[in-house]
Amino acid sequence: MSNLAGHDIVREMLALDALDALSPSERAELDRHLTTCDECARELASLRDAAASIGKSLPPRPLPTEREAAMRARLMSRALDDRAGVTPIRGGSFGSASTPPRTAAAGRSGAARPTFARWLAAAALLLAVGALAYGVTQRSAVERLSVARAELRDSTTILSRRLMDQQAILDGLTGPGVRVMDAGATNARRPFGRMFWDQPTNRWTFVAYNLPKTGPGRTYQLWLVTRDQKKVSAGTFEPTAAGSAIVRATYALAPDSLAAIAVTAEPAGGSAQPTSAPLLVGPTAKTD
Amino acid sequence: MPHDTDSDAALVGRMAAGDEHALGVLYDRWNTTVHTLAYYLLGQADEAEDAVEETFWQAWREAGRYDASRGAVSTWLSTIARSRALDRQRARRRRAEEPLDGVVPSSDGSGGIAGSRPPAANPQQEAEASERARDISAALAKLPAEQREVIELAYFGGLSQSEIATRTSLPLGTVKTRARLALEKLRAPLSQHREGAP
Repeated sequence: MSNLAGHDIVREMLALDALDALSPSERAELDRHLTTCDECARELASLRDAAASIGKSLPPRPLPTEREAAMRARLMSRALDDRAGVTPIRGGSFGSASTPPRTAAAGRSGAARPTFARWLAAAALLLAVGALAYGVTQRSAVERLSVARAELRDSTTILSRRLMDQQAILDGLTGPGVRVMDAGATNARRPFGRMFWDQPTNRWTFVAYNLPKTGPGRTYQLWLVTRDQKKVSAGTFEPTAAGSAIVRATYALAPDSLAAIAVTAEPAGGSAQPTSAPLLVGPTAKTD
Repeated sequence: MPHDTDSDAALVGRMAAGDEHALGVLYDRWNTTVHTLAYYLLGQADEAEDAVEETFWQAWREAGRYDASRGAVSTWLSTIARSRALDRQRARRRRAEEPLDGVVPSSDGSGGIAGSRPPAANPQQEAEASERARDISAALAKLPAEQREVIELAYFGGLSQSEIATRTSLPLGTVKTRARLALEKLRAPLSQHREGAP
């Protein structure tokens, strides 16, 4: 297939790729072509915008205000936790740093002495520059205050949320009816998990360490395995950059009906039943 | 600290540098758009909310890989949101062994999603599903019926071109042509307002 023929064939695929309707092999063929064809890459970007416009043309469905705020706080908190794995760049390189205008001294060599009118004009100019500088300073101060207020609001939201989370975790670990279960790894990397089951309140708190990152489109899922081999999902989760995770769930289970806990890697969004071998699995040896 | 007036691309750059406040600003700017899309793809408030959170979390984790030459930030977010929502849609289908008809809106305007999916759990859900289907039809109203069908199956149903061809009994070439013509028609008005806040 010549480049030109390839170009024509691939070009027909662009709209379907913008709609994510190509098979993996077709996608790979297209990706190879895009590395050498700017025209197709530009066309694909444009068609992707067109596809995205479909969603934007739907009647807006805002999140309920309190849910929107709670989700914002969760995301900010998670991002803060995750930041340890990201190299921060500080110094405001993106900021709108304003350089004060340099006021060059007027050259006087050989110039005639300013007339009165010139003095007036210069004075007016100075006043105007002064007023402008004052305005810029004031606006800058307002912007700084606005930014500081937003920062304070974000920090307060994060701290409140964290405090609530910490209290909930503490409650789930220290109750008189808490049972503790460990789940060890089946491979050499030694991930480790520990489940706290607060039986009187049906609250489950699972902590894990040394978990490897999930692959793209995958997530971890926690399971409660009952004695009759029923697998109940206790939620999906992603570990931090350091490989740790905390999962909380509320689920009513008879005290003697749990056989094991397990963690598997599943497709994003989770599965109805485990589809892979468990990374962590542990019996419910009673250690309380 | 990001400003509300920073461009979307600048915010993503800050996110890649580890600035969680930029994530907050981007979330404030686009969460309604993302939630709208997730809601129309999933039809369930809880799942749509989860998809929104997954979308912005993925955007945070993958901010460094955002390439402005491949589309606007809003397009990138929509692509992630649609992908996360379709993952959930497929997982739900696997769990319930829900037939494909249940998640793909019909294009004949005679009932849309509600008309083609299994009976809803209650009258309110039934009414919401009908409303969703009507909204989707209205959003694509500028397209001829045959192009609309292909777009609905691909965009809202997450079907591949082969699956669309099978379902509609059309040759693959016709599916490709209809998809291209439809997107070109939808693209026409976009040149007037490309990037920025919604």
